[in-house]
Amino acid sequence: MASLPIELVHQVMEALDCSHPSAYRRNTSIVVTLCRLSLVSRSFHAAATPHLYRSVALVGSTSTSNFARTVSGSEKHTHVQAILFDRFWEEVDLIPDICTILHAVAPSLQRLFLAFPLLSKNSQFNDDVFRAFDKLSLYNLVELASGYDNYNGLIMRDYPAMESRWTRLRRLALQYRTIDNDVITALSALPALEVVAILSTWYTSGKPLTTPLPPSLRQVVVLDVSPMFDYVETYFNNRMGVERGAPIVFTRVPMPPEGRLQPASFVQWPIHQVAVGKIWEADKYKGAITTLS
Amino acid sequence: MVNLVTSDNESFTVEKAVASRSVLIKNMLEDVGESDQPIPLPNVTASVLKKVLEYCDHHKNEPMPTSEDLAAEDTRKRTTDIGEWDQKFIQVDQEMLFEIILAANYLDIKPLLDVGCKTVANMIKGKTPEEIRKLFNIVNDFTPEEEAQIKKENEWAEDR
Repeated sequence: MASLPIELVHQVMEALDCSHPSAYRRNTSIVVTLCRLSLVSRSFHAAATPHLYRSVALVGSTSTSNFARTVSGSEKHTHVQAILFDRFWEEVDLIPDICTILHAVAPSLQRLFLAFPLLSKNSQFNDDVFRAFDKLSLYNLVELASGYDNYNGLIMRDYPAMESRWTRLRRLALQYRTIDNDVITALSALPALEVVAILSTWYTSGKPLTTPLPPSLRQVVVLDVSPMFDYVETYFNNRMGVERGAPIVFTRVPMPPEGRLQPASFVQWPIHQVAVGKIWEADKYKGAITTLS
Repeated sequence: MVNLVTSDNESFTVEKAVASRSVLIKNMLEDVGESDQPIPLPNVTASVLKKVLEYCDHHKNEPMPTSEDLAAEDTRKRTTDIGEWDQKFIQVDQEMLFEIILAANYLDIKPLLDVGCKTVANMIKGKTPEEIRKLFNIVNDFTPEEEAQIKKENEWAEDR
């Protein structure tokens, strides 16, 4: 009976994981199969582990606690490149586990998706969260997707000294943000920022947008758009872009028509687009995404 | 025409366009220039080469994947889907499937290697560790303690 050398077993595992390259959440059958492959033999365990841990979606309290235990007691965290935290609305006690995980994965983590607010006014764990983010910002994070208002509390906390900390951040997805001059000024302090995705937002400031564009920004993707975005699109796409000789690609991604989504799904739809990696398919800027390693 | 000689000393004479689907053979042909010299393939038997050449003949008019194509693959949504003709072609016993993968790897025929790996990946889905061991002809070399430890480490993936 022929057998495959381990380098070809690696290729089989690569073929097995057909998830979107930018996905945080992978098909359950893929994750389960990778778990089983890791139990076949020592050589299969070594081959399957990087695939299994490459992208981790923690969508419940049990999985988060279990994952915190795993990264505390092994070297598995060194393989984690992308991680999603979701569904912790009433489980503040899990924040220490999340901080444990963030500390462990910080050196290898490239993409982070927080689909819920990590800070709260009365939380005793806010300082732990700040310490975890202090570590994250100094390493390789190239993409941050933030549901709700983690942006103000965790990224803007470093403003205006962001140049020296978030030096590699190239993709930023923000939920419930108003696009105004203050936000654009703040984004300008992220030296490597190439693509901004705005999830579920609105433009309400009423003041004209006059701030210079962030220096390395190449594309803005907006989900859940309203006609009020015409002015924002003009700002990004034409006037300021042409002025600096490098027009920005402005991409609108409308939500599916009413009737095709349940009411609750209107909130979850933009989050889902990020979780499965689809949001970055809208990226038309050649080179902005493809060089992610 | 190109003359290929297998490990069991059988000769195959095929069009250059067919043989050149293999990057290994294509590079050899470029290195030696126009020559009637047979090309030895010491890692491929006649039965496997026959099958590989069937694949190469069917795909001979398709453009060769460039390095840019291969890089772009990393950014696109991947799929375990296999084309209709390729699906029928790869319906072979497991021994032959693994031999085709080994040959595609040796001969550097990336699309055929992909078809083979996707086929094995589809075979693995839903199988238990013991079934996968049988499939790959592998002995479980874990101690019971090591196996228990890995199961514990993997528990995070089960609550989904």
